[in-house]
Amino acid sequence: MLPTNKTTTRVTEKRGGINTAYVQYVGLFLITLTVLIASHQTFGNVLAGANLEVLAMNMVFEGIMALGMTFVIISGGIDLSVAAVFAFAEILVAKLMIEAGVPVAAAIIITLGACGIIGALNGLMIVAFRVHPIIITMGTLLTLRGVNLAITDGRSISGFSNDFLFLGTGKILGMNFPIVFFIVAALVLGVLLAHHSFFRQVYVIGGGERPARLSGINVNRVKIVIYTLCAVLAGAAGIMAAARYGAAHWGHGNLAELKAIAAVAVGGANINGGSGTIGGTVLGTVFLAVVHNAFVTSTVNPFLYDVVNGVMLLIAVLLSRFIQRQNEHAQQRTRQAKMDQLATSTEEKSE
Amino acid sequence: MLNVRAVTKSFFGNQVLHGVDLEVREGEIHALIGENGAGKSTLVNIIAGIMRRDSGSMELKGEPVNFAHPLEAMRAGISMVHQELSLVPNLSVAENIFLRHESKTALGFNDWRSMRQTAAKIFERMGVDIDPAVLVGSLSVGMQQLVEVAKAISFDAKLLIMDEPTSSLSEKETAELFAVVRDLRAQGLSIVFISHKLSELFAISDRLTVLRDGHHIATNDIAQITADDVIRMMVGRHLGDLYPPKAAQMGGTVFECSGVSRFGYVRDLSFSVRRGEIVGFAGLVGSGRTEAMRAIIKADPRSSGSFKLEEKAVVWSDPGEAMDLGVVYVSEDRKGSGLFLDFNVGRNVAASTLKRYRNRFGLISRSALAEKARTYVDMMDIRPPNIDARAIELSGGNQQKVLLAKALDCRPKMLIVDEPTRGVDVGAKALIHARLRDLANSGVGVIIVSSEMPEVIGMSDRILVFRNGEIAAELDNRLGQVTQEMVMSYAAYK
Repeated sequence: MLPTNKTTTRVTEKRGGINTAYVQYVGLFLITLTVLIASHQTFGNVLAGANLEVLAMNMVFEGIMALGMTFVIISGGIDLSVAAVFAFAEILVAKLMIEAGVPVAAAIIITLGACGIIGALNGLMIVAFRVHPIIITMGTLLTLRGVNLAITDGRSISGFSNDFLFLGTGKILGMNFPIVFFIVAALVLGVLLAHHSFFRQVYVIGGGERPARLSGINVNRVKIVIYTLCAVLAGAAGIMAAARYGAAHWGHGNLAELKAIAAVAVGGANINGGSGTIGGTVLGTVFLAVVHNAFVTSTVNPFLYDVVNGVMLLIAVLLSRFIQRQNEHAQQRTRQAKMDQLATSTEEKSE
Repeated sequence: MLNVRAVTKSFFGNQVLHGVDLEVREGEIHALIGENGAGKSTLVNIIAGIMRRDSGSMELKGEPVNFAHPLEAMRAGISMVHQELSLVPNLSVAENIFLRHESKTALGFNDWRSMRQTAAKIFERMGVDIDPAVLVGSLSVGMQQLVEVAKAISFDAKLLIMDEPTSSLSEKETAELFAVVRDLRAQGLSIVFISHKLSELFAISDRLTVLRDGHHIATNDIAQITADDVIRMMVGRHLGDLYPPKAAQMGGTVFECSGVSRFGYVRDLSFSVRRGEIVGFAGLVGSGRTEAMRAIIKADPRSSGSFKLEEKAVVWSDPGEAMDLGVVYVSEDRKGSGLFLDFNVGRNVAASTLKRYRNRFGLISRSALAEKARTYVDMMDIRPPNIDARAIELSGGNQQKVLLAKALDCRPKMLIVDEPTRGVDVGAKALIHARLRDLANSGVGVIIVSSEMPEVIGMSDRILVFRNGEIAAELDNRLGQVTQEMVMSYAAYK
């Protein structure tokens, strides 16, 4: 392609206003910081090392699930089955090691593989049946929860080796292993989602499947991959949780899928797909963790914790809806302006 | 450079292309024109690899080609600029342009800088100045259209297909786009250009091909034909006596609508309909007819508008209230917003009027409902004549009959039917037309909105031509003297 020599350019478009996503991130970051500092001033010790560890460990498993959920939500889907996969991973890894005597590393690999298969099945059913992901993954959630109950008879499994327990309680550079995992996973996935051509397709699919297909994207394959990724992350969180609690139990992580979704939504992703970032999800996770911690350290009725979570989620959703409305209005104004222009030009001609 | 021979295509047994030819030369702008449903979009979708042809052949620079996938066509040098934009608003201009052929590093990571630089080069070549780093969603529609063009030529396109690229552009934006298109032609690209706006086609194209009802009618040098020739070739059909006679007599005004506006779609629409009169709303797709009707019954918001029914001022706040007053609208989308597809014929017919079938305990009387449904099955000749058949099991024509029966059961004083016979076979069409005329003869006012010009002309006593959200012309058709050429001359931008 040879650029032609042009002395003048006919059309100029200036960089548009402020990027709304950044406003949201900065706002969320400042609010989180305010809550953190305010609770430290009021109750003391919030910023102490021990409390920060408690704060982080409280949300880390939901945070890991939220990372996978980010991909799913950007693609315009949702995965309700993550918490059931989480508990399933706990139970499977425990059974493999304690009842079948499988070595730690092999048990982990088998468990992650099994979770990956569950995620791939989610994706396959979603693309094959063309049913909304909320229904398919709810089916998986209920089925798997039943399986978890049945294979454990409702009892917990414990008695792990020290090697395995390291995955929950061990420290690297003074940080708990799950937190290190979360940070590394967020960095790797964040870079992939932001810069890798395969994962950029997720945004295109979320923006609209028709344009995605017209652009030559294999929508089905991408969807299956991201549901698999989401389930593998939930499985990894489950394995670490088993090590953290020293036991596997079917009730662990109950309703964690809602917290994971909330973290993604608070982090600025559009629940209808097309936008969102790993950075936003990390911010959303940290926000929920900080607010939770503020409640725990305060003497306020801890039952109000969910109220704040809920209200924050509603505000985040209302904000994105507001931005959407503004865009729609702008489009209508453009239409009207065009109609006006056409009408005037027709009148001029007929005169 | 592109040679398409005898291409055919059917959808569900309905043949839309009957052996169409198209020959595009190197470095020419080739206009493709035809009425709605003439097969233009199907033809170009086949050329661009979005649909597969049933039979026929296609050669690109002498090589036979058969694309299974849009990406294959793009790699072969055929790119399409879609009518509805295919861009992703949340991604940057550069990323949209290079979707699926990104500049990548060895590990598959996007090389943003190289993509932005190449995008800037393409824009330079097009003579436009768009920052490749901004989000597409922040650009105006006109700018987005130019990005779409940049995306198409970024595959090193030899042939660019543009499907109504100007339908959502202002005059200024259109002029800018045309300047870009002419530049591309000067650089040796061939361009296939689809538009309804004749003046545009004459302004920009070198040759022009007319399609009608899936047939190739003619290909001419633009210098050798006139706009009137083109209109005649586009419509060129005889109406015959397919339609019922016009109104024998009309009464006073039954419905009066004044000052209806919907921001961005309809401006200050006023008209009236007399008892026994059928008023046709003609116009091109996108001229705002359906939007106007939906605003009238308040299925969509409107900013202003007042109504008189039988000389009395009336107001309503939703379609249900309008229906109760006697103003009934039949949707153009029978599957989406017309019928309950899983309900049987009886329940569909009575869907808007269930209250009337209550027995003395306030419960729905199945027998009264069944009896009524059977009278409609007879009257509309619904086949199979089974009131328990589910709507989804019926053919398009019979579904349309059920839809009309549902509206009739509301006992309308003013009936508005939108595309009453779209995708319906000839027999059902004639029956629906006859019933609509019967209804008018019984003293009801009827509005027919249709993109099918013979239908509007054949059915209507008066024709209102819609253009750009307002009435461009009012044509008296009681003697049936209106021609398609007359309607087209007001509907199109000449």
